[in-house]
Amino acid sequence: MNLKNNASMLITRPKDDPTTNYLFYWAGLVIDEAKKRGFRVFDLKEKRANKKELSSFIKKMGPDLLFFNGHGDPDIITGCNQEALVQSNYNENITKDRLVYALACSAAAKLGTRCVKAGAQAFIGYKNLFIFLTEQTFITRPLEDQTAALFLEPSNIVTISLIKGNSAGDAYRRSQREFKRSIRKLLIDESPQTDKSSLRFLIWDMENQACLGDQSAKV
Amino acid sequence: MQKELDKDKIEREIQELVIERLKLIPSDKNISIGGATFTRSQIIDHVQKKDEIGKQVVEVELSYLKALKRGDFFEFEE
Repeated sequence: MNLKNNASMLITRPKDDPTTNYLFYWAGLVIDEAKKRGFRVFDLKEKRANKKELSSFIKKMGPDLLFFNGHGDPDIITGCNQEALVQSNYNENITKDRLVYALACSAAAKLGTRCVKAGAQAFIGYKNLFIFLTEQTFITRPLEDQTAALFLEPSNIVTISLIKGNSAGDAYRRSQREFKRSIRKLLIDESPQTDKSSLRFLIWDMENQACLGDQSAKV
Repeated sequence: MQKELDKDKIEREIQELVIERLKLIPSDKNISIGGATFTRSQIIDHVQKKDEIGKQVVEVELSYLKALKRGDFFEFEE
């Protein structure tokens, strides 16, 4: 795949509650992959995941790809201390000319469409809550949590695919395929030890994932 | 009047069904939903209270049962 020279990604990853703590560590794997591929990575982590730094970095550095990790609702994606980073009818234009992946609840319901109208090339996200299960014993070691992996690996595929030069539509389809793989893994394994309780939430996340805008857009 | 009684009855039965199914989630799992993390028993409390989280969990469960009925997940292409 051909990537443009000096391709860059800006990532926000607050870490101020158990949910964002998991997203923080799993997003770290995407950063590793981006660096390996020669991307410039602007990592707005923990307290740096705030609106001021986000606006400043986008203006100065012009990243091609925005990867948000945090909470959300149909009109907002948040950063540290749930500060609104991108908000409908306020600053969705900061996504103009960029590819966006929002791992945040419900942001594709309205905000995603508004971002595309404001000029974002494509917006991948979730039209409803993003739900995932974790194991209590891995709360301090999120990357070892195989239950969380069922959800966060398919999610990571979105950004990793974009980093590899795939189009937004392809990144979405690859992620959908990975969700299905997780689902199938649970359906096929008949051992009594296999916990199938994740299935309902995996199916929910997969069905609510959406790719808006130009499906052929790529970094 | 009869319709309302039937609706209440169906809602109650759905709530009971969802709670019974949620009891199958291992107690050592946490559920991250809507900006917060819950244990199995906390999620069941929300369903019993019929609050926003509870309603969302019922929606997830019903959506899952519908998907199973359609057989969507036995026809995966590689």
